[in-house]
Amino acid sequence: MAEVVVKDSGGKGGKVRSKKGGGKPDMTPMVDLGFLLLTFFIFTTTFSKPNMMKLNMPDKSDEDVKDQEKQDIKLSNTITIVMGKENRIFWYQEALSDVVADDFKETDYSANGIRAEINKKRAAALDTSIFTVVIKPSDEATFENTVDILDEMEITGNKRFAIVDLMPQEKTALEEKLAKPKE
Amino acid sequence: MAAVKPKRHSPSLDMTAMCDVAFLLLTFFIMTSTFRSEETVQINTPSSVSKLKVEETGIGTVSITPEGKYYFGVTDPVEKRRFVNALDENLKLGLSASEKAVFNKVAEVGVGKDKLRSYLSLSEGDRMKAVLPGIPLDSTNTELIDWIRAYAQANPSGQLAIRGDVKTQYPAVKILFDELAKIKFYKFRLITKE
Repeated sequence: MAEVVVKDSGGKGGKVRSKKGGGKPDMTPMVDLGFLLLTFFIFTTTFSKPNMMKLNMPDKSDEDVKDQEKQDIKLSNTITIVMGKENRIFWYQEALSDVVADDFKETDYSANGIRAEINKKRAAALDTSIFTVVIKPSDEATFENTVDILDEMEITGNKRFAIVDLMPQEKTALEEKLAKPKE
Repeated sequence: MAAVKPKRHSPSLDMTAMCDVAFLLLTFFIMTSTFRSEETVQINTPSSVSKLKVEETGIGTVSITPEGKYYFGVTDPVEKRRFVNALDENLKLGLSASEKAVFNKVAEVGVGKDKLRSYLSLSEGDRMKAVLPGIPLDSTNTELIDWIRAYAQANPSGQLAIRGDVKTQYPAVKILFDELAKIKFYKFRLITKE
């Protein structure tokens, strides 16, 4: 180590000189500060990142392909989830053309609610591999509701799902259902 | 003859080298991390179980406020520069170099093309206070789609992320989904938090 050796000249008259530091300050607090800032910056940069989820929408341009696929889907292989206002959620498993308000079964966004229903219906499906969840948010649903349901798809491991708009008959059925008192 | 005494070391080590290392690393991390630019709009994203992290580069973000206003932002500064050039060209905005520089400083832009220039000429303080109308997107005016197209054109490998608020109503999201489907844009990401 490079040290400056201060040569003691002896001193005049035996005067006690104040001890010199030798030009070497203690670096320990500075190291502490350096590492503290370092840790702070590393943590803040990695933890401030938000999450994201991938979402692929169906290709609407190939209507022919879609129609072909539609015919293969049996009723028991699908579940339709309708999201209403004020975080209310309904599901049904009827044919789209003759759905009425009474077919809508209300549940909630909890693990015992919609997730349990999806799992139950999937277990009961004729062909579990093509079990499809049709997600239909109404105009009163929020973005949070949509993300919640997409999250359920991730949790239940459902790869086959689609976000579709409500059909007119479903809209009237939903309105009727919403007008009725909560069960 | 007196025996040679081994030189006694004081227990304190020389910390200079360690200090150098610490500050070197510190400088490195500060330089490499990109600073989060001031958010134009406060968005409370819904939570999800997704473990995917948002990338710093290759992402253009559409933010939707609870009122259904659309904002567009690009995180990476290099991509942003390319994007503003493409946007300028596509929409014939005629932005000057200084206006582009201001554009690069703004994290998310929430003004349509007709008001963009006056928005960029505001001082920083006024810009923070300004009430932004959002980038128009409805059945008659799909300007936001032009912005997304400009982004896709400037950064072909770029991804589109949608950042919606917990209270954003679904119709605002639906219009965006529908309009994106029209330009054959089917793959995108939704930004959430843990």
